[in-house]
Amino acid sequence: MKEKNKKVKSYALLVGVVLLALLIMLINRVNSRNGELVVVSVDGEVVKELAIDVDDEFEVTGFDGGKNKVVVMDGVCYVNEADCPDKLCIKQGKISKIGESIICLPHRVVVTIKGSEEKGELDSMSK
Amino acid sequence: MKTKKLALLGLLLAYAMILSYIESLIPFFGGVPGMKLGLPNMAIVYLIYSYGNKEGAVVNLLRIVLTGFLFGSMFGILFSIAGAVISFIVMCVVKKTDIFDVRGVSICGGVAHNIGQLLIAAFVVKTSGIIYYLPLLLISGALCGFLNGLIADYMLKYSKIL
Repeated sequence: MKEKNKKVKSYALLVGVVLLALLIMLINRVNSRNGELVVVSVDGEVVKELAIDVDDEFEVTGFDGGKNKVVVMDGVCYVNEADCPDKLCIKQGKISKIGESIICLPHRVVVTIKGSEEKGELDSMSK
Repeated sequence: MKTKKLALLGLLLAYAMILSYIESLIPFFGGVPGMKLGLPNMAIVYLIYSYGNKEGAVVNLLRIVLTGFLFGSMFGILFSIAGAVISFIVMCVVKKTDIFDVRGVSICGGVAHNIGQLLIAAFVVKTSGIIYYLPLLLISGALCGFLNGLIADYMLKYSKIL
C-alpha cells in the first residue's frame, strides 16, 4: 500500500510540474508585448542596439572571436549565420516579444528584445 | 561478492557512457540551451536504488569525465558536471525523504538538472533573460525524468540477480 502511495505521488508530481510550466507559459503569453529594441551583448556588455522596425544586419564578434550574424527584418530578429559548433543560436529561431532572447553560449552572445522604456534606462546608465 | 560488485559497476558505467553518446547524437527540439533527454540518468537512478549514493556518485562523475573527453569538450564537461551534481544531490535528498518512488525521484533529478544548467548558462552569459526558457525546461525535465524513472523501475524489477 505504501509503495502504491508513492507511485501515485510520483505521477501527481509529473502532472503538477507540467501544469505549473504551462501556467508560467500562459502568463508569459498574456503579458507579452511586441518589443521595440534589439539589444546585442557579449559577455554581459551591451555592444549594439538596433531598432526592431528597421531592417538591418549586424555581425557580432563573440567572447572567443567567434562570429554571429544578427538579422532584423520585418519586425522580427534572428541569427542566420554563426561559426559556433552547435548552431543553437540559429535553431532558436525568430524573436520579437519583450523578454525573448537568443543565446549563443560558446560565444557568450545574447540578443534580447526590449521595450522602449528600458532604452532610457540604459542610456542614463551609460552616461 | 566484491568482484561481482566491481564488474557490475563497470557494466553500469559502460551503460551510462553509451547512453551519453546516444544522447549526444539526438538533437533536441527548439535549440533551447541546457535541454537534454538525460538518458544516462536512468543508470544513475538505478544505481542509487540498487547500491547507494556513494556508488552512484562515483559512476556519475566517471561517466561525465570519460564521455567528455571522448565525445565532448572541456566546456561541455564543466557544463554537464554542474547540471549532474545539482541533479544528483537533489535526487539523493528526495530519495531520503521517501515521498516518491523511482519515477518521482527521477523527475526531480531531470527538473533539477535542467534548472541547474539554465542557471549556469545565465551565469556564463550574464543575463537573466534566459529564464524565459524555464517553462520549456520544466516540462522537458519532468517528462524525460519520468520516462527515465519508468525504465529504471523496470530495470530494478527484472534484475533481481544484482
